[in-house]
This record gives sequence, C-alpha cells and structure tokens, in this order.
Amino acid sequence: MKTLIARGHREFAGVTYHHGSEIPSGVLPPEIVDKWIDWRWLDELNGTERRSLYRMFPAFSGCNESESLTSDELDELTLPA
Amino acid sequence: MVTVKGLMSNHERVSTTSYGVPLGAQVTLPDPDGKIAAALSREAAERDLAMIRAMNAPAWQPTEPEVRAPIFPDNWQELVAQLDQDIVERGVGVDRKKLVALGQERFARLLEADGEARNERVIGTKTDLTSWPSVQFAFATASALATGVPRRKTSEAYAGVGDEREQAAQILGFGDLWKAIQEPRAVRAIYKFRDTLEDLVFGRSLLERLNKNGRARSSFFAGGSGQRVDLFRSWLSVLQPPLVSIEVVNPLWSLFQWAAQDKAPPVDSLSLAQEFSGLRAPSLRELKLAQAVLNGVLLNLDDWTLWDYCGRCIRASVDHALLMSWRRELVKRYPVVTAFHRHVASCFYRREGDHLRFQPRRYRLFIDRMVSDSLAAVSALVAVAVADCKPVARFQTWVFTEQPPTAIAEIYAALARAFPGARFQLDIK
Repeated sequence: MKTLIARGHREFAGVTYHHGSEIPSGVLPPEIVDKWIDWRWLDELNGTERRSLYRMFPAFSGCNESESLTSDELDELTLPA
Repeated sequence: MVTVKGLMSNHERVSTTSYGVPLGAQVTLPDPDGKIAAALSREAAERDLAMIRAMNAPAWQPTEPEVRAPIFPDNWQELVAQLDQDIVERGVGVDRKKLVALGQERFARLLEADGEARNERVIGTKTDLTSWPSVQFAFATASALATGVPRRKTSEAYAGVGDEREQAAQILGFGDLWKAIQEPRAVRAIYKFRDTLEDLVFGRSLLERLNKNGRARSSFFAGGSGQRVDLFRSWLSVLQPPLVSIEVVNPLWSLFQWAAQDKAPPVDSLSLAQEFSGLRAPSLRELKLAQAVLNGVLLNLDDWTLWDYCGRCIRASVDHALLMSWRRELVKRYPVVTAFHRHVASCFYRREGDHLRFQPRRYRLFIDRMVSDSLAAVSALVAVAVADCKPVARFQTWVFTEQPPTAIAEIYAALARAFPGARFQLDIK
C-alpha cells in the first residue's frame, strides 16, 4: 500500500495539507495524483517506508482501508486475549 | 657462650649465660615418646591443608536473602485464581460511541502533533514517526543523538568501572530519546506525537475487544502491569458504568517501610518537591521528579542508574551532582531502608579468585521481583476484600469496581493481616 505525502503546502477541496503531512487515500482523484506526482507536489511512499496514520486507525479516521500493527505494538500497547 | 641482658630500664639488669651441650653428652628431651613432635607435625600438616583449601575454594554458593514475605490466608491461590477468572469473564463495560468519539478527537490531535513534529529540521517528510529506526536515522543524520553523559575513559574501561554510565548514555528507543540534548524541541514534539499514538493503539485494541454486549474481555484486567495500565487510565472516561477506583498511595514507600520495619513517618511528595525545588508551589514536573527520586532511592538506585530512572520519569535530563546530593539527603533520612538494602545486597556477591565481586544484575532482578510480587499481592488482597462490589480490573496498585466498596475497614484489615505492621494508604474515588 502507498502513502501519499504533500510536498510544500497544498490545498484541495478546501483542505490545506502542510508540507510533509499525509493525504488520506481516496481524497485525490487518480488523475490529480498522477499530475501532482509529475509536478513533484506529492511523494508516493511505500507503506513500509512511512506507515499511513489513517490506515492505522480506520475506526477513528474514517478510512476504508486498514493496516495491521507491528508485533512490538501488539505486545506492548494492546490488550492481550 | 651467649650472654643475654635484660633491656627493661626500670628493672634490674639480668644476665643469663649458656654454655651449650657438652661434647659427647646425651641430650634429654622433654618428649621421650615423640608425642609433642607428632602433634606439631600434625598441626603443620593441617595448616598446609587449610592453606591449599583456601587457595582452591569451591564456587561461591549464592544464598537468597531472607526478607519478609506476606502472610496469605488458606487456599489463597484458589481464591485469587477464581477472582481473576471472574474478572476476565465479567470484562469491562465500554460505551462504544464515547470510545469512537474520543478516538476521533485524539486522531485529530495526532495529525496536529505529526504536523508540529515535521516543522523540525531533523525530521524529514520520509521519516516515519511511528518507527524507532526511522526516527533514530533522522536524528543520527543530523548528528543529534549526542547525550550529556560523560564518555567512559579508556582507563575506566580498563579498571572495570563506569559500566553503568556507559549504559545510561545509550539511546535505544523512544523511551531514551530525552537524553538527546541537541534538539530538545524536536524531542518534545516526538514525545507529544508518540503519547497520542500509543493512546490510540490502546483505544483501537479496546474497540477490537468489545463484544456485542459492550464489554471488553482480556487477561490484562487480572493483574496487568506496566505501560498499558497508564494507557488504560487515559480511556477511563469511556467506561460504563463509571468505575470506582481504589488506588494504593505511595506503594513503594509502604512496601519498603514494611520490609525494612522502618518506623519513620510516611513521605509526602509535595514537601519533598518543595524542599528540592525551593518553591512553595512546585509544578507537576517538580512533583514527579521528587517522587521519582524517592522511588529511586527506595529501589536503591545510585549514580547514573538513578539519573537514568529519574530522567525516564520526567523525560528530561537532571543535573547529576544535584541528584546525588538529594540522594545522600534521603539516604541519611531513612537509614533503616538503607540498611535493609545493604543486607540484601550482601547476599549477591560471587567469589572471584581471592576476592568477592558484587552482582548488580542479580540483585536488581531480586528487588524487582520482590516489588512486583508484593504489589501483585496487595492488589489481589484488595480485590478479594471487595469481591462483592464486582471488581472489573486489578492492576499492581489499582483495583476498579463497578460498585463502591461498603466496608473499607475490611480492606485495611486484610492488608494488615497479610502485611503486619505495614502502613498502606488507599485512595478511593
């Protein structure tokens, strides 16, 4: 899965995305994503390079996709069975 | 001929003259059977044997120190096992809507903290703030991982000293990042992000554990400990019905006072913070620091280990010399606890050649186990005493019930029976 990161301060549909902040998947139409990547307004990072916060907490962010937690997080921060 | 003269000046001088054995005469010894010579020979042989034994001593046999142990009622294990099973089966009631609403609020805060952290020069757009290797790489690239701990000299390494200081200087995870002194604002921003992230991870797992009846079940609620207890605390407002908390106040002090049989009055962290900071109204940070110093001294931490412990509690570096002066003051004030630790530590020496070497790791393990077991016993005793009030969670120093306890005296009586002479204080909210 890919994580989209804004380069510079960008605005789309009335929402401002600051430099380095994540743009949730599904917000930008695919053609805009392609254009912004070509214009270097956007970085498309691998999910292992930078995890998506929206996918980590789908119940709180409203994201449709989800991402599993790491084994360290599961061992140290979550409720065991 | 030999002449010996007495040398005592205040006595009359005495001269003794000996002419030796005349040539050809037979010497008559006082030991005609040779018994005395045989005894002398035997003694010499025993001395030699003892010396050889001492030089080749067997391996040191470590002995566990004898410390006071709590006195439990009969069938205690079965009682606690039954209680824990009840707690796990009952689960904790959670209001799903409230949980999601609070989660959304915290997620917005997480994005805000992420933005703040990315304003810092050391953190690039590709830095994954959820991953320690990524953050470590970002700091290392900016040469911002230097600490204020003096480096261990070669002469110290050769002499085998300064090991603790070297360990204290290591930055091995998010918990150690406060030691990096060059980018304090970035460190604060990362901690703000990290705290919110950890809260949300716990919240996510709480949501995933919720069943159709609105209750979350987990073995963690029966005797859990560590960081997750603090995370659970941060979600208390979403639990239903509102729980009653029974907390042991200043548990380490009560425990060591009981173990060492100290009669000194209980410690007030506020007055300690006032004394250390010189302020009449110390801030929350100063209160936490005073509590950390006290706990560190109670656990017999010293030097850079104490510095590391206190730094972790307040996430800031404390002046080492100042910390040591506070430690000396507390050690003087509580000599019985200090003597208790000296007694326990004396059992953790290992023979190495002709001397004994202290084993700090084994000693620390023993103290940690003693504290952990005793606090687990305290929470179990409190939970058993309030078993009728539907306890839903018990941690080392906390018990949560759905109904308020009716007989508080019973809780104190149960604690007094198990820990005779202890002065545990409970805070019931």
